[in-house]
Amino acid sequence: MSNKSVLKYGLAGAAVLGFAGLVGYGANAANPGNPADLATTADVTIVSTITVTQDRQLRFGQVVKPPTANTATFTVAPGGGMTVGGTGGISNGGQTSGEFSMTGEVGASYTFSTGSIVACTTGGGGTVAPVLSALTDDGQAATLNDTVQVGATLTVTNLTDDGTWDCGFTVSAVYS
Amino acid sequence: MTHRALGLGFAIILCVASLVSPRTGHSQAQVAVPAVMTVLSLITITEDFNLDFGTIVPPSDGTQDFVVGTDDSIAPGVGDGLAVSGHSRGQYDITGTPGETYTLTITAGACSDGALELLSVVSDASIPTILNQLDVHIGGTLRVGASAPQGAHTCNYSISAQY
Repeated sequence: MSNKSVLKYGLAGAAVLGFAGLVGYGANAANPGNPADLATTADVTIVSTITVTQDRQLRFGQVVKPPTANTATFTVAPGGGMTVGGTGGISNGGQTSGEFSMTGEVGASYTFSTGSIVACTTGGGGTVAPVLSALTDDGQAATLNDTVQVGATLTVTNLTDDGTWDCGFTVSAVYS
Repeated sequence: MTHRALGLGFAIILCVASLVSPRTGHSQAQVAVPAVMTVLSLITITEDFNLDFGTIVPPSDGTQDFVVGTDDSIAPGVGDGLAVSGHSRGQYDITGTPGETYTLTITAGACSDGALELLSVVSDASIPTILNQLDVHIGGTLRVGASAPQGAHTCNYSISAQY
């Protein structure tokens, strides 16, 4: 092939390549660079802590201890009824079950529980105390806002010192 | 006829014109030039459900970070605040031309109350990110202040996918 023909072929080739380049650029430009964008939100609900309030105190009322070496039990039910067990004990009435109200996110589920018991004390100088045990609640559906009634058993012997005794215990409510 | 097709056609015409310049004794040459292009489908991001931190009790003091994982777990972080219930990871489908790689960008935005801060949003999208990806999960970290008011709140975030 002569120089002239080679040159011509070269130009033709260059032109083709040039336009091929343009075609190529068009194909690249057609390659989507679209970003697909989605704007959305994350949700959160803020609620207050649960508050437990004692509406009514658990009371055993007036109880008479056994006269001799015996043990009597006095059980106040969550509903307020009294059951005397053991031997020789007498209830003179006046008992009430405890009542607690829980507030927080209305309708939220929570778990109610009775906790540790504090030894009974008296301001009358007695040293042989009754014993509080068997805390129990009424098992109501645990959704806020709600109230729960609590009962327990008090064990008294003939050796228990006379007087007014205070027996402490804890209750708790936790979101569940 | 598209511009690209026009261009190719024009290129072909030029090629033929230069070759047919009357020169005796020279043979013609033809060059086949393929037009190459890649056609892709638009990327689509579909939300199955959004990220939800559920019901939270704020800490009594300071701030506390609550983390919803892409595995749908929740970690309440250090503090006396509580993650009560109802959290959920987000879930999305990212579709386009199957087999193509893409860049995924997730950006945390502002919340509806100043006592809340969406610190980060993450995904479990497979790496490298190749379409189509279904059920891409989104998790995040929410900082809750003690003064966060009761009620429903939202925090913005965005998801962007690009070839």
